Amino acid sequence: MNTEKRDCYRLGNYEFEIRHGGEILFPPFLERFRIEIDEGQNADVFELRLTDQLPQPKGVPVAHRADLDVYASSASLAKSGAVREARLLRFVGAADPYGYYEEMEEQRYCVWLQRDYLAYSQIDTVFYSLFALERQLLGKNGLILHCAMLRVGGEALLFSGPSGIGKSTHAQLWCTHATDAQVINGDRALLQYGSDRLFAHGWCVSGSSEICINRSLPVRAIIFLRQEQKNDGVQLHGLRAVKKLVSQITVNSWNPQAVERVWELAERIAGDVPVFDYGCNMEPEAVDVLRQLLGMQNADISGTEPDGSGARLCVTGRDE
Amino acid sequence: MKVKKDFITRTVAGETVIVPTGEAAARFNGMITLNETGAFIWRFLQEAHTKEEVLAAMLEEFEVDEASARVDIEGFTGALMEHGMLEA
Repeated sequence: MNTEKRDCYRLGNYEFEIRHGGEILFPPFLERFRIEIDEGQNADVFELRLTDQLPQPKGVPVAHRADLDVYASSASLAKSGAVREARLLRFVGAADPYGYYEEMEEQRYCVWLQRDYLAYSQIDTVFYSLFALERQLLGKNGLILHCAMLRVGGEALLFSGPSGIGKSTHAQLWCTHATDAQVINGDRALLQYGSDRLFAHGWCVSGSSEICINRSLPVRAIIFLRQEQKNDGVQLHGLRAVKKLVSQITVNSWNPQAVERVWELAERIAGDVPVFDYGCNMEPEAVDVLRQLLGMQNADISGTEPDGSGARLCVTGRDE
Repeated sequence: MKVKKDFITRTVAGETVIVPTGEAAARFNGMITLNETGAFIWRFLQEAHTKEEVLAAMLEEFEVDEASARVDIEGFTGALMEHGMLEA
């Protein structure tokens, strides 16, 4: 194996290096997160290889999705005895996988890209899926939130919600109609605590926004957008806030420990940072109304109180 | 009957929600919010119990008559069965 190249990066507080032979081109925005790490430092190491034939997956299958097969095997990883994962990645509808990820030992991973798919390596979703970054970051108490990340002064506002709801559009409204506002990323942000305060870090994937800035800011508020004719919103608390957060976080749902950890972190975030539900149009007034909402000391809370009579369960979809 | 191990329980500010994981997550793309009574039955069924044992526990915990409690238990466990959340 030819591994003469060694490229190092930092996402939030997560530092890692990719060792590779140079044939595989990386997505251009990753360059903005490059750092120098001395050999022997305590960083995760991914060995990225190009191959004609992907290895056979190691472990028993634990999850199957249209674009992903996950395998797990018990192993004695130093003291943890943790389960090691392996993953096969494929394009939806494709019969054959394009990549394979395997956890070798603590902080050591092997990643293979099938040679026929070399031309796709610079596509964000293809490349980053190879490294299971959401899994690595959860190990560093990081969550990846689907949101537009906006810098206002020295803080971040995160506009979240389903695809197409207008996250980037609303963020751009702020750039036009508010002072000292700048879009950091139009698609994702990495959330991690630092010095007991929640920080948002610009993520290496920009989505269709093509905006990808490597900048870290303390989070002022998280706002879940809805499209409405009239601009109005409420602050969310408790379970309502946590459910909104979890609905827009990348979760390895096949892994109960990962799901528990995501919920623990989301519950902490919802307790520390104001979370809002905001219905808005795309007019300039939407910025003014939200600005006032964010400046309120005691927001009105609206919504239906749970009915305590009888035993009931209420089923909600993941994106609600 | 007993709840399946694929479902984790979270309580946030006094509200209980059930989240599917593992194989259940592939079948069920959502989460379930329980009221107080539902949360009680759910926690009781973390261990295997008969409906009569659930009834006895409910009558001890809540100010409810037996007939109403039986209706609650039948309805709730029926819904859990329908969503594949209980082992018989």
